[in-house]
Amino acid sequence: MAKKKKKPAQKTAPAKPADTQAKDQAVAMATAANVPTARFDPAGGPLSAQVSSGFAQPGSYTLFLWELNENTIVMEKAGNFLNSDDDEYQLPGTNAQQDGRYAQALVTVAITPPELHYAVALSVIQDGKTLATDLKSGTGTAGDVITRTLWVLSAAQ
Amino acid sequence: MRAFIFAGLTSIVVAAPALAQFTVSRDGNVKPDSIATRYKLDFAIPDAPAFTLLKRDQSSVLRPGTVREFAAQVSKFVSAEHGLSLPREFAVEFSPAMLIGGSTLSLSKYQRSPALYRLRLSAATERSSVGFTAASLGLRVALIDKVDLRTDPAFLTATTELTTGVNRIFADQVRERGPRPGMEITLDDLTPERKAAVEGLIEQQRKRVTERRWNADILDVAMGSRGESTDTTGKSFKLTEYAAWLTYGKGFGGWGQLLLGARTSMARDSVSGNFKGVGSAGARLYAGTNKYKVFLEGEGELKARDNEWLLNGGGEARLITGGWIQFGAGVRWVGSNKAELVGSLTFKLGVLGL
Repeated sequence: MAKKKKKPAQKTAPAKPADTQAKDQAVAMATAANVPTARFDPAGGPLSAQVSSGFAQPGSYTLFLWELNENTIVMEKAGNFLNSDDDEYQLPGTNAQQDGRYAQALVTVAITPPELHYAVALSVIQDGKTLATDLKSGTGTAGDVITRTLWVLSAAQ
Repeated sequence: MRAFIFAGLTSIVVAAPALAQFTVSRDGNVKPDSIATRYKLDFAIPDAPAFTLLKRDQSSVLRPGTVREFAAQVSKFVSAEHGLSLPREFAVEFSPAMLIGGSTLSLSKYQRSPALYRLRLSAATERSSVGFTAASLGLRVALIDKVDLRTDPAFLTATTELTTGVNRIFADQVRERGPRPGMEITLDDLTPERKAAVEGLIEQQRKRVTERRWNADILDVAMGSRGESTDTTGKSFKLTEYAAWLTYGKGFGGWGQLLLGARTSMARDSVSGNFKGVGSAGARLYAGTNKYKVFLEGEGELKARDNEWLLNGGGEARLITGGWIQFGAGVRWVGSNKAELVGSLTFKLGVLGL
């Protein structure tokens, strides 16, 4: 009797932990939605988010930090552009916790003539280096009030 | 009165970024395109020093204005045969600091050195059909500019309160709907009540901006130089004039503005080739509203001989399609000669860039 050949054991990738899968999903979703991804060094310094308005346009913002795959707001900060020195916020928690979190900024600017351009940005920063920026710019008419939404996903390298 | 001189000038000023468009019909009328009609310049368009020199405009009052990122001006695009031709005069004026760093310029950085961002450079060229070429360079800075709302603390405080109110309404909506990465939240995403509240605030802001004073105090300093070449290659190019202006504008209530101007220049004598100094001073009073106003001006120019005096009056109106028309007529005396009538017509169009 011929010996039956043993089928080689099918190689399967080890199952990823649920949070890793969720993060991968978040990265894929961010890529599809053109959301900039901040690839941070888990062993580096703490992450921070900065909101800015160019062309010297006045305005206000609300910054949200969303937990991965949850409708949970980890951090919420409101501010304005009268003084640009206080528009950077350290993200709460450890770097490991930032993996897969979305920063969202609602920025409202008032188009103040003679300048009719605006450029608003949300950046994620680590150790003084900007890792990713979402920038929205355009032109309005005098007296316009424009609200734009900015997104940046944080993902460990 | 010996003669009537009518200095007809049609010029187009393009404010904001380049690539703006306009159309000129066969009869010489300038019509803004559909993009242009969306934008109506709020205030009268200031004079660019380089263009003023190129036109040999001897006016002592250089119209001041708040800084724009980029402006261009063309004229003389109607040929001697009354057909359209490429413009023979072209000028640009821009703020280098705004062009280079505008997109990342924060409000507080602007406020720390507004003069830097208000500094504008201008350049202009003229070509004639007989091979004569002229070029000029200019520089202007507003040392005082109370029209500029970005340095008005009361306006900024009120505006920031309003934008905070708008932002809060949007934030309420975001908290309710949760994260939608990559998605913008727009007015149409708001509940009807929230949308109405935001629209009310936007209307309030538009009114606040519209009601700002067209005649607020301003102090402009400008200088420029002009050169000419007798051929198109520019080989025989030589400087022919240097000039400097100082213009102060003082507002009265909501109805008037007095412009006081002084101009000094060194111009090359066409016969001897030597430079001779000329100084002039003048005053112009505007009365009316931002959209429609009349003016009366008087000025004197002191020369080595044949001093000139001018008494002029006219009006300025903002056009429905966007842009401005300026017209004037007056009397000029040169030395002991008899008075002569002078007139001018200027059309300036501001259009939205892309």
